[in-house]
Amino acid sequence: MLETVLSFTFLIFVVSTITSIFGVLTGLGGGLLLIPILTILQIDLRDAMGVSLICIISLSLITATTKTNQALANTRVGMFLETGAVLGAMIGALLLPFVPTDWIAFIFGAVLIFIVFTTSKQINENEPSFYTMYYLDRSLLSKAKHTEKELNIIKEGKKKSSLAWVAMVISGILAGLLGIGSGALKVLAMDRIMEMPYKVSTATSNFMVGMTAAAGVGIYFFNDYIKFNIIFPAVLGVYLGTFIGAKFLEMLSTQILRRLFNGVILILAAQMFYKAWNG
Amino acid sequence: MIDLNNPEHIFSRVLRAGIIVAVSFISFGGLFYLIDNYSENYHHVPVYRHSDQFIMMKIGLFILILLQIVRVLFYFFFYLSKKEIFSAITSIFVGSVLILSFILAIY
Repeated sequence: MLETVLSFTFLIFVVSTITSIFGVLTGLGGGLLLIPILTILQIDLRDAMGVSLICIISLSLITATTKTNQALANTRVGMFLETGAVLGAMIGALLLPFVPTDWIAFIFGAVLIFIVFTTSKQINENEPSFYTMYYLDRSLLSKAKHTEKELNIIKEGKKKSSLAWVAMVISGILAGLLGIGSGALKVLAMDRIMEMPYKVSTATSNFMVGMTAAAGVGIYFFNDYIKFNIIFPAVLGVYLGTFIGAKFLEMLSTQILRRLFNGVILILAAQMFYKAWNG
Repeated sequence: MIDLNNPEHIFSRVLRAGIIVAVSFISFGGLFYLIDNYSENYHHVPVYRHSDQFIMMKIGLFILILLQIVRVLFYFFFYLSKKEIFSAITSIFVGSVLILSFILAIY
């Protein structure tokens, strides 16, 4: 019995450390890998999602203290989009007890494949766009009369920001329902819809994921999906993994790692579909 | 050295301190859980009660959620001081949802 508890705890610690290293190196977060691997270890899918949410909250707090992230993130855009994401996360977490496990496994598999295909495309290095909330916010505050050209920019900015906000609600619902940070979806919305530079989108997404996860975690606690015996080795693994990942970040090629990560995710997606099929 | 004139620098130090406290609670809770398992299986006497270990871990997790709320509060006051009303209002909304989540977690 002791060996079982000890080896189980150690196994979770190792798995969470490795997934966090991958998450940090590829910038895609560890939740996508952690949840399917935990289900392979015979942990209930909903409990695995609870573990993942707590790990995301921890990971985001660590990245929040790093100087690079603070400098790059557009907190104003982040805070605006976060209103949609937290609302979505609450809705997603509320839906969780009513959605059958095989459906969740199927949606998870579909999201994994969607993320692999969208992130494997060439990174779009946009120039800073006029259509971001930064300008929208300035225009809301400014009492000066705008020229025709400026008004068009503001109008376009409003349209793109509203569209991105809707995308954030959807990403929030998926985050709450699947126990992931859905950072990849957030980056996609900011990068493609709001036309923000990729690095700014990534840093802003890192700024947001922890709050999205925190919005859903209360309902996970309420429904007893938070299992402490799994969480403590997982959280410690996240801290160690983030530390190691940050050390190797400059040394390894992100492109090769991203391909490896995508390959692993495709296998895990197949496993989730298998789980959905067999119940 | 802490740069007292830079609120973001002070805030990131506060976050780091909070993370250390939260992780300490979670680690000690986990350690007691493992010790308890050992003593229960080899000496048939649990040293700590299960509720004690889980309360320690729970406190650690609550601190992590609280730190997220503190983050939002920081940005609220930051935007308010710069008279960026729209962003301050969005911070209030996000903060309220997080506080609601925290209350649900305690229940």
